[in-house]
Amino acid sequence: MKPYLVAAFVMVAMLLPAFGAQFAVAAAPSSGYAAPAFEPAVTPAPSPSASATDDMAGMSHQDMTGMSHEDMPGMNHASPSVSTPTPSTGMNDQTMPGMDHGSGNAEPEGSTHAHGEGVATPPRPVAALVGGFAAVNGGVMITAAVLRRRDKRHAATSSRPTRPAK
Amino acid sequence: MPTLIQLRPRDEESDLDANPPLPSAPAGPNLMRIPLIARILRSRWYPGILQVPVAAVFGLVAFQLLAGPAAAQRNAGTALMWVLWWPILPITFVLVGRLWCAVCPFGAISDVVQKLVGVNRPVPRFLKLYGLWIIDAQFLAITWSDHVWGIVESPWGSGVLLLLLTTGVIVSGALFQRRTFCRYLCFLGGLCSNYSRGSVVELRADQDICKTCKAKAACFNGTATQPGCPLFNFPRTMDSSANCTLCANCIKACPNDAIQVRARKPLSELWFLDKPKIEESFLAMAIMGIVLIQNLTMLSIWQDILGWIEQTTGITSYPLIFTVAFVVAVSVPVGLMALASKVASRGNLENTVTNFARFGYALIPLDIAAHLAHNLFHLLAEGGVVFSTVTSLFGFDSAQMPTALASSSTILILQLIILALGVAGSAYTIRRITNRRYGSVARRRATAVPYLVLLGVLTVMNVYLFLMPMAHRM
Repeated sequence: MKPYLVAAFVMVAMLLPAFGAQFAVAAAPSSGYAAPAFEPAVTPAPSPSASATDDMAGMSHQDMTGMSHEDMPGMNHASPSVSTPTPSTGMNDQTMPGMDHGSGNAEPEGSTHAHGEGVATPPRPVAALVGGFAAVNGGVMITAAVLRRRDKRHAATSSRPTRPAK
Repeated sequence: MPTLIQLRPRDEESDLDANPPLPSAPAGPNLMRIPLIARILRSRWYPGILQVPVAAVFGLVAFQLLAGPAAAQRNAGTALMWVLWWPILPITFVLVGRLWCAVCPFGAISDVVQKLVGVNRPVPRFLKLYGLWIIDAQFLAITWSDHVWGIVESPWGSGVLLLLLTTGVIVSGALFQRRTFCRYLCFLGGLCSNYSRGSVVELRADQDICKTCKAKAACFNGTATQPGCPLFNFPRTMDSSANCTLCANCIKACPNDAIQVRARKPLSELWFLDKPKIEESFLAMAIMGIVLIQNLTMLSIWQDILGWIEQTTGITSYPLIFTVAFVVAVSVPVGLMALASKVASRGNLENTVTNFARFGYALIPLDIAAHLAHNLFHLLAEGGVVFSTVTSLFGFDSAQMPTALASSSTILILQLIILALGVAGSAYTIRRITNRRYGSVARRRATAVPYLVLLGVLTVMNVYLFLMPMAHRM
């Protein structure tokens, strides 16, 4: 394969998501992705604790360190900083140390954990982001192209033999 | 007339070891003698043939992150990027060094932009001088941003990060020579460069052949048909794998077949470093701090720590509280390293900065191990998400399949084994560096002991954190 074909493929692979994102936003701004499997209402989100309760070879709930259902020291169930987990059978996030999903009350914008499934996520400004990305990088590339042309012209001019002064 | 003779003390504690040339790393077997490897590396299809599928997957990941499901655990982009790629990446560094950088889509983008509109300005001096510090700062800033704004857990955040990095790559490719971004600005490249020192392959030039070379450094400059080293390496003088991506440009450009790809003992490069850089040592310690804070934030005690900081400082803003915890977590390994270096400097008569720079590398094996162990949890406890999200792209409903690929106890055992290997590697590296550097037993001991104590402290901290159950990310 010629190198420029590889380069072309890479460029296409890079541009596809940008165009795809714009297309997706233009087509259905709020739906995001059309596949039914991704609809929260259709498919329940697999919560971390649910995955841990599935029967698996070698998975013993009795001998796991710290996986006790009893209250753990340091776990404050009343603390507002601990986000409410999805109820699940077996191991419960509320009584399991470490199952606090990271940053506690600092649920970052756009972060949609299992426990935030029911909450509708705000629409993401994909078009603005991709547009800004294209504008900035387009500007950079145009500037570079102009600079390159100027450099070439300058090199051509400076390479002419200079005439001795009269 | 008396002749001036520089006298040395005759006792055993003298500095007799300072002057003799330090032993260099032995050359391992040349893998280029294996016809298949030689054919692959000399092929014009390499590494392009690998870049194509990687670029395709990268495109899919970027599309998913920006336009796919908003929930991380249902987004194939998040799963592929943070549950599969990120944990596997350090393993590739240990095995094949920076080979990832040869197939990285960012490098390919840089090349394409350069070909189209590149101005090919020389790398700015400040980047050459402070590039590694910029990488250090980027690494810390991205980790901080992840916790404050959400990058890993948010497909949108990850998508924005990818676009920002792509912008950096395009700007760098448009303005500067070769892969300036990869060499001087890529935070992942900084991580790769540190970890790849422990890899089991190295690319080196045959010095005897190079001495007779009349090809005007074709390996560096390239030829009419073959570009030179994209990361500004001159193979003839290269003594480190930190900035070699095994892209094989030099192999193809060299008319004398002087470039060898050799097998070597794992971590051996760390034992033979002649010009240690403090910024690389700092990065090694900062990575240790990052692993500590990453582990901490996934534990139940994290809430207690946040509460304690809130009570102690009176700060109620989470970003500020996290910033305090983050600064402390990163400062602890760096501070302990500085302390150990101060103590060691009294025993080996070198200054603290030199000791810091030299022995920061010795903790890279522990870094790799802690990093791998941390990400092993994500890979094995959440790996099912990769399958379910990717298959759902093709219309299969596999949301109910378990996310865990192994039990918690299995993961813990594997984590502790990896940590043990890392500790052993670091301890052995400390020993090798001290033995190579210092001749007398007393100096060796005085140097090694503080670093071994530091290694012990960091090991206890890591083991303690890994023994506690972690929260899932997906």
